[in-house]
Amino acid sequence: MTGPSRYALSASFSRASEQCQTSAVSNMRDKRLAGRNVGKLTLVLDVPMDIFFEIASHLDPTDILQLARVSKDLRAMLLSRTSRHIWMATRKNVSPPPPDCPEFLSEPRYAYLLFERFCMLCGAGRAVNVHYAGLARLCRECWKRDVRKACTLAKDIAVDKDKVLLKVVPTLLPQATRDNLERHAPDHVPDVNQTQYSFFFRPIFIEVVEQYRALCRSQNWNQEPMRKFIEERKRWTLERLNFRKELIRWQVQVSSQRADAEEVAEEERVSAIIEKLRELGYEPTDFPTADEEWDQMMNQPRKLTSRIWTTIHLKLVACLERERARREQEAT
Amino acid sequence: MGDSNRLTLVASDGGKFVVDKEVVQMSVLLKNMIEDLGETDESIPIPNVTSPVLTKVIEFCENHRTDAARTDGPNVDGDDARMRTAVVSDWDRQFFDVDQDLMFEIIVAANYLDIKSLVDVGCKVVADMIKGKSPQEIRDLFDIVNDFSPEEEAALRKENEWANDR
Repeated sequence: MTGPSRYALSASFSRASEQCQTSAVSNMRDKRLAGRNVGKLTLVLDVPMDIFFEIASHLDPTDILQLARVSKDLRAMLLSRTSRHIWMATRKNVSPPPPDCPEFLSEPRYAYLLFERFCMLCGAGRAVNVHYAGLARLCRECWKRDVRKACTLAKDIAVDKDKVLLKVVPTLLPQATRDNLERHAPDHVPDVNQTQYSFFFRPIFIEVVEQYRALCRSQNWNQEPMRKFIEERKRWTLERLNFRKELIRWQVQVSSQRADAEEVAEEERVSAIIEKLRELGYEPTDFPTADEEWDQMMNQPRKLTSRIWTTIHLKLVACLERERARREQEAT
Repeated sequence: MGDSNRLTLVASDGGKFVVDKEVVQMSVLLKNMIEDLGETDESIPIPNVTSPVLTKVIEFCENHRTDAARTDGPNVDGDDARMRTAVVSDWDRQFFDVDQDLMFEIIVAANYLDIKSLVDVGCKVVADMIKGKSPQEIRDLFDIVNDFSPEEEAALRKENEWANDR
């Protein structure tokens, strides 16, 4: 290959196979453990950068998140500004595509918020509690510990005696809602009338309290800086709540699309089963109408593969025979 | 020679290929070159591409000549998005069922010759091999070492490791 490979990534990578050469035995074992894909795409790091970008743009955002954990070089490359268009391209591969990345977020950070499954505080997997306005994804434990009522959070840092603070600060940050549980698109901006009894995400709350108190200490009441600070925070809060609204709207589209796909898959499965049972001499009129076991096998959003058919067809026939016996008994 | 509908391409190793003009024109680079040359009997040298690679590239273009009109010339945005989501056909997948040296040489050659549909299909085939894999599986695939310490790896899962600047 005489192409312009000087732009390729490969120069800085240490090859796993080169490092293992000292011990042929351990090398063999490593390869066997890793399976048949080992080294199948080593040359992907030797192609010119523009081709690497082209390949990456066909991936999904989750794949880019994984790639950014492969090695330091790959990570540095993917998190740099020059790779921004990769993140944008992969986001468009998602169906339906999420809203554009807002001004206040970097593309990788946005992908992380939408598609990562780790808790941002402790790194635990399957963190499904998302608070979009606070850019937070948390596991159950961290959510329980760090999403609390304003009055509780204030008490924890011993500022709960300050009644003015308790009244003002809750209006200066977005309240924390479990957005993953949101099932309906909000048609208006959520309530900004937040009080000390609303729930907030601790790190943001503390940050706002600290800024507020610093301003209180440095000047008298009613002065310009405080007024400006409050105005700025309220504008910021509204921006974040709007961001949340957009994402929930997208989330609703995602789940309705998924529901549609499942419905289609379920219909296809049912007609495939009907076809197969016809071959065995059963008609839909023979099907049981109130049989839980039967319904469970029929109504699933999964394609009927030959393997599934092998496991279920005897059970289906058993249900049909049971139904036949029941009908015969009813007739006599 | 003398057939104005056919052209001779010469690979970097001297291998000669007589190809229909219509097929050659799927390469934007060669199409422009032919337009610049006008009617000529001269063969066209392709200094960056070897015979085995050129054989494959021509095979692809021959097979896709009927959809040439669609892939010809610069793509508009909508078309680009449509191509991106289209599934790789069985023929194309079979076409790329070769060792990785040849596979990447074809992609690089297609990029050089500016044959968008071939670059696109090739990149998709490679992307499909990466899709859905864990970092360790990708390391195996690329044959590279994990240079993160266990502590660093744990930190990667958390939010503060993700660049916040734009």
